[in-house]
Amino acid sequence: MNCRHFQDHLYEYVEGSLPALAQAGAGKHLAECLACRQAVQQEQQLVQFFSDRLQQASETLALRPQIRQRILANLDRNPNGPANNEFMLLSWIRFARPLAVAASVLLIVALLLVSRFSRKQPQQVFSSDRHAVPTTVSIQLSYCVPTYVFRQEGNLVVDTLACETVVASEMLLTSDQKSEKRMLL
Amino acid sequence: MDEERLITKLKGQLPGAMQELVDSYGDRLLRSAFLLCGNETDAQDIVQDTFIQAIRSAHRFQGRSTIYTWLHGILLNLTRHYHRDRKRIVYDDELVGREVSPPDESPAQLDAGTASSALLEALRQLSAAHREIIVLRYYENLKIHEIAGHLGISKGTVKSRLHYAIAEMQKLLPGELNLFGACGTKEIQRQ
Repeated sequence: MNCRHFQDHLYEYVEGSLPALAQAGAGKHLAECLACRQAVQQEQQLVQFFSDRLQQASETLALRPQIRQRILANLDRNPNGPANNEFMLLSWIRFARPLAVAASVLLIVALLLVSRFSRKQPQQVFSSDRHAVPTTVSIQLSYCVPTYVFRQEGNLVVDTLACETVVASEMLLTSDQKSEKRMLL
Repeated sequence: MDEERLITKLKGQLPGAMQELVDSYGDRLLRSAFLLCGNETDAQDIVQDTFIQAIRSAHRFQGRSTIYTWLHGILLNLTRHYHRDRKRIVYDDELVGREVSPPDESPAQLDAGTASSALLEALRQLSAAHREIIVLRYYENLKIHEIAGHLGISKGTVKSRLHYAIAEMQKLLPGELNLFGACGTKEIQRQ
């Protein structure tokens, strides 16, 4: 065992939790290494120092009689009753905020989608005035035709994506106009 | 104390089980809670909540650890909630405390009581993770693998955290309490 290996297991050596073989190897190393012996001594002193001082700092504390009474009173009331419901409520509250955020985001996305698609649909105008109904409907469609162009530049093949917008327009007759035409014929 | 008998009483919610549990472990848990949260009043409340949670979850206790370890696990969890809640509030007196926190370099020797107070003050100023590791190692006297199991971290992380916690403590302690110096722990030992 070398110093680095020993230092890695210093805590276990001091607390005596190393396996027997490793403990023996550590003992052998310590017999030859002053620096590691000092490290062990320092850790043992730390354990003693902290243990004594922390014990001293807290030894006078005792659970207050009111606290004992409250614990037992809580037990008598109903061990699985209201307090459990309170715990369930707290658990629910813990998840309520992320759920509310997720629901809000979903709502916003849904509203955006609805507004986007509703804009794309052709607007229809309804009127009770029969004379105001247009006899022809003008339809205009514009769409994009993607075109890939490949060309060679030295050893490279470069592709370019071009988008050509095509507009198609057509006039359609309404049903009223069709029936009028049939009458004339 | 017969642990198995107490476990059976707890699981069966037999009369007197809780009383026995509080009598056996109440003070010990309180002292640990005090070191973990640094405030006696809050520590009392945390211990109360620990017992209330313990009795509710007694039927789930498998008996793989000692009763104290099980109770301490609940206590540790509640202490973490306590620190999390406290982080949201910055008290004026804490800010004042931070301003006067640099170690006192007065050359006078410290008696054991003053050393304990200084250690407690330094412990309060540590991060929650470092405080936990110091308390588990040097107050609860848990071994490295036990701390790893208790905190749910690797042994390597325990050692590394312990190393940094000690180094941090050293910075916060007065000069007379040099943990690694020639007049540090040895001086305290002699007193």
